[in-house]
Amino acid sequence: MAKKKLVKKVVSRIIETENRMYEIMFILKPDMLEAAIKKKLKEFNDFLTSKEGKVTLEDLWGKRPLAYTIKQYEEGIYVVYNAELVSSFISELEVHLRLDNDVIRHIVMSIDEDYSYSKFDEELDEKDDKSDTKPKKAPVKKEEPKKEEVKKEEVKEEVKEEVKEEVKEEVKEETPEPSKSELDDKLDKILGDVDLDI
Amino acid sequence: MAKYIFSTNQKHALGKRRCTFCTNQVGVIDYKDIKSLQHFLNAFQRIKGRYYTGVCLNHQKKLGRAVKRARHMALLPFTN
Repeated sequence: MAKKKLVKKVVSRIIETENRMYEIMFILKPDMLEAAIKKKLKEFNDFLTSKEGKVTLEDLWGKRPLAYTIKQYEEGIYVVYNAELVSSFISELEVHLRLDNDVIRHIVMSIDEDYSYSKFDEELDEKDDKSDTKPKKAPVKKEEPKKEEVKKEEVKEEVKEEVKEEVKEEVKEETPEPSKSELDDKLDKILGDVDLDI
Repeated sequence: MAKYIFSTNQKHALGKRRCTFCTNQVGVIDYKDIKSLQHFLNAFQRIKGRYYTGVCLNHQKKLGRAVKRARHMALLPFTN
């Protein structure tokens, strides 16, 4: 009997312990617009702070391919929160995230106080882009000093012609690459500003 | 992200087995750090045994938890 009383006391203490650090991570649908995402995050922030919560960190990773399909989506928008919350508030939070139709997946976990958040690195995608851009720019830079060094007119003309041709080719190559991302941004701006009711 | 120095931990090559997390003095294994988690995964994306990686028991448990969290959030695949 004594043991049961002790257990009850301990459990009550654990429940009563007021504030703890939590890390919340969830994935939003990939077809959400920027304005909608901002609104969503604001609402969530208000929801956390409504019951004596403190948001210490908010990080939007952006769109990222999923390792496997979730609800027929192959991409997702990742969001991470670090917050100091009341421990009895967590069950409410879970329900809130589960009922939200824009959230595909979520995880809530407790953190130690000396936890330091380290930013997520995009591993492969960014490196490939950089490796593509660097070699294109590098040869142009190498040829420019050559012009100054060699003072023969004939050589200069040849080099200039070569450079012009290369520049034209580069322009042709570079234009199609950013077009997809730019188009997406433009679409977001157009659709987000006007708030069309379709 | 935390950069670990991975010890190869071939049992017979090194006389002693060394845990990578103990040598780097890591308390919490971050489930968002996919790059270093992938070092402990198979070609079939299964968690490698301690025999092959030399991780100590305490850290192997934490590592398993981190991998499973990453899988739940679709950062890592369940199978390949």
